[in-house]
Parts: sequence; structure tokens; C-alpha cells
Amino acid sequence: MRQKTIWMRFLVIGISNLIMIILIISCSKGDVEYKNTTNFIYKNNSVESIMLQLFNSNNNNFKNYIVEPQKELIISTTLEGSPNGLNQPFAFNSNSNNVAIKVILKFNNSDKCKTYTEGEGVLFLKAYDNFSLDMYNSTNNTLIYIIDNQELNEAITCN
Amino acid sequence: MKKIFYFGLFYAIFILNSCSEEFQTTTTSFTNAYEGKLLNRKIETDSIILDNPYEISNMKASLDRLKTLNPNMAYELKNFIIETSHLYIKFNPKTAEEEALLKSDSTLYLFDYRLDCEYNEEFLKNRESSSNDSIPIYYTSIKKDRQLPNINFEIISELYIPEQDTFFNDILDIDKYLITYQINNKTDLFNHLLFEAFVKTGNQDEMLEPESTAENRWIFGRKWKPKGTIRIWDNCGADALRTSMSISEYGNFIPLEGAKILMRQWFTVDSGITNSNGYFETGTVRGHARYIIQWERYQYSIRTGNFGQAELRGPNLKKEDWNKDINNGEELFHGHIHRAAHHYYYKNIKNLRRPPQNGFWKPQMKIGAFFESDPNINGDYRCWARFMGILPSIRIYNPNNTSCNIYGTTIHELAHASHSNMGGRDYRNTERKVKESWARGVQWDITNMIYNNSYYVYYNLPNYTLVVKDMIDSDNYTTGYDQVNGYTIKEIEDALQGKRNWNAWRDNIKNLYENETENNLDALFSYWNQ
Repeated sequence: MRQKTIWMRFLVIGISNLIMIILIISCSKGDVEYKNTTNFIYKNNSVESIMLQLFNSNNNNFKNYIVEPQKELIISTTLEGSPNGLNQPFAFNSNSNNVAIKVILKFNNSDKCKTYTEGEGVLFLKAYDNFSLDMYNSTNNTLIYIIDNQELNEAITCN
Repeated sequence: MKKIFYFGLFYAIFILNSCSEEFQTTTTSFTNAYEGKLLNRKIETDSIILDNPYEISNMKASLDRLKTLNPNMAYELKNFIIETSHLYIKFNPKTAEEEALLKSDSTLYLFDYRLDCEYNEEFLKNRESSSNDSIPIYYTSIKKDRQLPNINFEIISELYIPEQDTFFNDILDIDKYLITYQINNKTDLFNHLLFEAFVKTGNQDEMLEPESTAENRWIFGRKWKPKGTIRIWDNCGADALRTSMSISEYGNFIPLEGAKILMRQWFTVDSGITNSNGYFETGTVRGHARYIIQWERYQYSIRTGNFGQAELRGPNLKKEDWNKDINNGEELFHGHIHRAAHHYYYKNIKNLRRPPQNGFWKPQMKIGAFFESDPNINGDYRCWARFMGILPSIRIYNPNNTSCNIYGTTIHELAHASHSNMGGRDYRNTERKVKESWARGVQWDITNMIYNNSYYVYYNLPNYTLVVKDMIDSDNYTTGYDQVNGYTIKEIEDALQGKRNWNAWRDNIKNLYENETENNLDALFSYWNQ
């Protein structure tokens, strides 16, 4: 009788432990919101000085960057997301006033402009010159966007 | 084999911790300094266990003394006897299920510290962080005949609480009462009984009015209603600043809604919930009472880390409102997590499913507020922790984030919890892109109900997309990749049911609803699957 009682106890403990192990293993990873840093480099390979004009969802020009010919601009952002992967360009934080949904690339000498909205040019990750799908699996990525005479030729006279 | 050994070791440690000794208090003698004949109590150590005036033997001794001093008192008073009316008890839940069962009764006011102690406030805070490794012991007082859940408890002492005795319901409600030791009616008996018990236990300074002298001792009389307004500092817009003003200087106070405010006077506890103006009131009380915000509602509890109920201990006041502006420290962090959890559990969420509900075998949602900067993580959701029920399912870090970031991250994690609750097996096997894109969508929609579209959720590819936002809003409707709009967040959630991958979710949205832009769903989902 006593042997049976001991056997039953071990069975209960064993089943309990098994259930706990299954539960832990089945969703052990959890869903973690990491911080991700992405570096964006804008190289001006054109012959003109350029200005990147950033516009938020209220169409306010909240920030401008000037890049001289043969110079580059580096912007690093740290945002919430996966540990690996790429951040949204020109998103500085969670305030809608500080996120660009339109960027005007202005060539200062010729007064020509090219406008990009979401999914285009500097606002489209795949359009960056060194983009590769491997970047989705690596951390602290650096994306490079080269601005040259091609953009200048596509630009139209600014309004 | 090694893994099994380590698991066994962990389990053994866990069981041992659950049985660990209760938080120890130290007793010290009072510093008795007669100034104007009043007793001043100073806490010279971390805590002191007070001599309890409500303890049945103290009350009986006080009554005996009054009867001796008044041999000719009226028949009704002479025959008045004292019996145990309440019990001061401590619960020692051994498992998360037991703790959940205990907490499922919202009429039971539980404290993870003794009710007959006075604490050094710093000590209480430090205690919280040092006791973060086991299920707490809970203290409360209950009516003697109350049914309790089947959880191990110990009676610390039997009590008699005159304030809750119906015998004294019809006493006079006077502003101040002069102690004369002459008992002519119930009002005299009530006031003298309390006073004598407090004198006997060295606590009379709690009762005496400031103008009292050794000859004329006035004590509190009239009942008063603890009430007040709680506001919290909201610095959501600080992210938009590009000036020299620091984040802590930017913002404004907003009402704190849905917070549970406790009023405690020794063993009498009452509560109120702040309304949309931050206003609360509790039941009436005589004399001093301590205001407390317990960051907990029936559906969720905010922890100071892994364990330890988050709490804001307010002042001990008499006939004074508590108007509290929360503007820094842990209380600010807890407050913003509370705001988000309260929103998701109790307010308008556009008909979305609520996160996991509290109930038997369904532990209360526990949210760990880790008051520390973490360079790598803002928060997480761990579905297994809910099964276990002991550790928090949700953890939030980085108290220096702005209010809307803390709010948004909490909503995001609760969206994961709600998604998981739609079907645990499905959830566990769902693509990360689907999980995170859905949670991002809820984060954007719910948080902006409060922040009027000033809160932006950015994407982080490949998993954190803005597909939900794009299906709802009308941005970019005429050009670009996003030519979808008009879906509701409720529809998108319903279409998530049972769908584990990106395209299955998309196809289910198409199949379930008529929408004039649905032919553009393929392009939208394809864009975000780049």
C-alpha cells in the first residue's frame, strides 16, 4: 500500500514537471521589443550642393540637411524593433512631427528638386545602393544612398 | 541529462523560495518624549511593530477600565460587551494559482506588508526590490465570519473595531470630543473606548487634536470622506523638441483615470477609483487615514520588477484631500503603464478583444515595471509566464522613455497577449512578421485614441511593418504602394483568427469583407513583404 502511495506521488510530480517543460519549450522565446540601430549614409556625388528637406505628416518642413559635393551625411537612428534588420529612414522617434513621410532633394545651384514619398528613393530601403536581404539578418546595418547626376537629371525646377 | 538536473535544481529552488520566511520586521522601543504631554513616536530603525489598540485584549481591558471608572453608567452601556469582530490575518500563498485565487476577490484588500507596523518609507522601497524573488505574504483584516478562499492563512490577532460595530451607528457626529472619562451615553462610550485603547498602546497622538493639552484632551469626532484628485505628468510631445528644454521640463499634467486609491486606518480599508477627471472618494472615516495608490485592478497588476505589488504610499492625513501630482520616479513609470493597461482592459478599444481575463486557472495579468534603463530591450511578452502565473507575462523597461512611448510599448505587449489568447497554439506557430505587424497596428490605433494622431509608429523591417495602419488610414491613397483603406481594426483582428502566415492573413481579409480597395491588398502585403 505504502509502495503504491510513493509510486503515485512520483507520477504526479513527473506529469506536472512534464507539463511545465512542454509549456516552457512551446513558447520559450517570447516576443521581445529590441532596440535596433541603423546608420544611413547619403553621399553627394553630384557637382552641386544639395539640401535634403524633411516633411512630416502635417507637411511641415521640420528638418533640413545640406551636403556639399563629394561629401556625405551620416544619420544614425535607434528605434524599437527586431535586433536584426533595418529601421525606417528619417524616423527619429515616435512623435509624428519628427518622422519624414516626404523628402525633397534640392540641388541648390540649379534650383531643381526631386520629391520622394514613402516607398520611393531615400524613403525606400530597397532603393539604397548597398541594400541586400542579408541585412535583415544582421545587426547595426549601414545603408548607403548615392546621390549623383542621375537624380539631378530627373529633378525638375523647384516650386 | 544535465538539462534535467538543472531543471530539477531550478524547481527545488523555486519551491524553497515559495516557503521562505516572511519579510522580517524589527521591533524597537518608542522614543517617548513628552512635549505638551503628547507622545511623539519616532522611527529610529527600519520599522516598528506597533502595540495594536484594536487587539481584542486591549479593547476589553479598556472597556473594563471605563466601567470601573463609571460604576453608575446606564444599563445598556454597563451590559455592553466586546467580542471579536475582525481577524487580522496573513496569507501565505504557495503557488501562483493560490495567489490568483486570493486576488480574484476584489473585496479583499491585500497588502504585502504588515498593517500593524510603521515603516521607514525608504526601507519599504528597498524591501520591494530585495523581495523580488518569491510570492509575497499578504496581510489583511476580515470580518470574523467571512468565508475565505482555501488558502493557507494564519491569524495574527483577533480584533474588535468599534468604528465598524453597528451598536455605535447612532452616535453623535460631532466635530471634536473632549475626553472627561464620564460615560453617559453611547457617544461617550465610543470615544472613550477608542481613546483608552490608543492610550494603553501608546498611540494616542494619532487621535488628539492639535489644541489639546494635558488637562483638556480633544479627540477627533466628525467623520470625513477622504477624497482628492490625482494627475500625472505627460511629456509625450517632448520627442518633438529641438530646443534646450529637457524632457522632464516639457509636458503638462493630465488626470489619472482608473487608479485604485486605498484609504487605510489601521485595519479599516476602503477604496475609490479615479474618474476621468482624476477625482476619487472613498468611504467615511474618523481621524487620520493613509492614502495609497495600489497599481492594480482586478484584471491586471503592476509589479515592481518580477514580484512585489507596485504601490504609491501617500500621506497620513486627517480631514484633508489628497491632491497628488505624479511627476517623477517609479510612480510616474507605474502610472503610465497603468494608463495603457487600464485603456486596453476597461475603456473603448474599438471592439477589439480584451487581453487575457482574470479567473480561476487564469492568473491575473502581471506587468513587470523594471525601473532601469536597458540599452537593448524596451519590453517583452512571454506567453509561458502566464501559464506559470508567477512571473510577469509582460515586462516594460526604460522609465526615461516619454509617456506615449511607455504607453505605446505597454499597448503593444498587451496586443501580443490578446493575440495569444485567440489561440495559443496558433499564436506560437505564427510568423513573427504577422505577430509584430499586428501588435504595431494596435499600438498605433489605440495609443492615438489618446494622443490625437501625434504618436507615430515607424517600421523596422522585415518584421515590424505598418500594414495594419495602411489598411485603415487613407494616407497615400491616390499614389504609391498603399492604395488600401477603410478596414477597421476589429475586422483585421477577426481575420487574424487561426491564420499563421502573411498571405493567409491577407487572403482571409479579402474573403471575409467587402471593401472597394481590396484588389490593392496584394500590392500592399507584397510591399511590406519586401
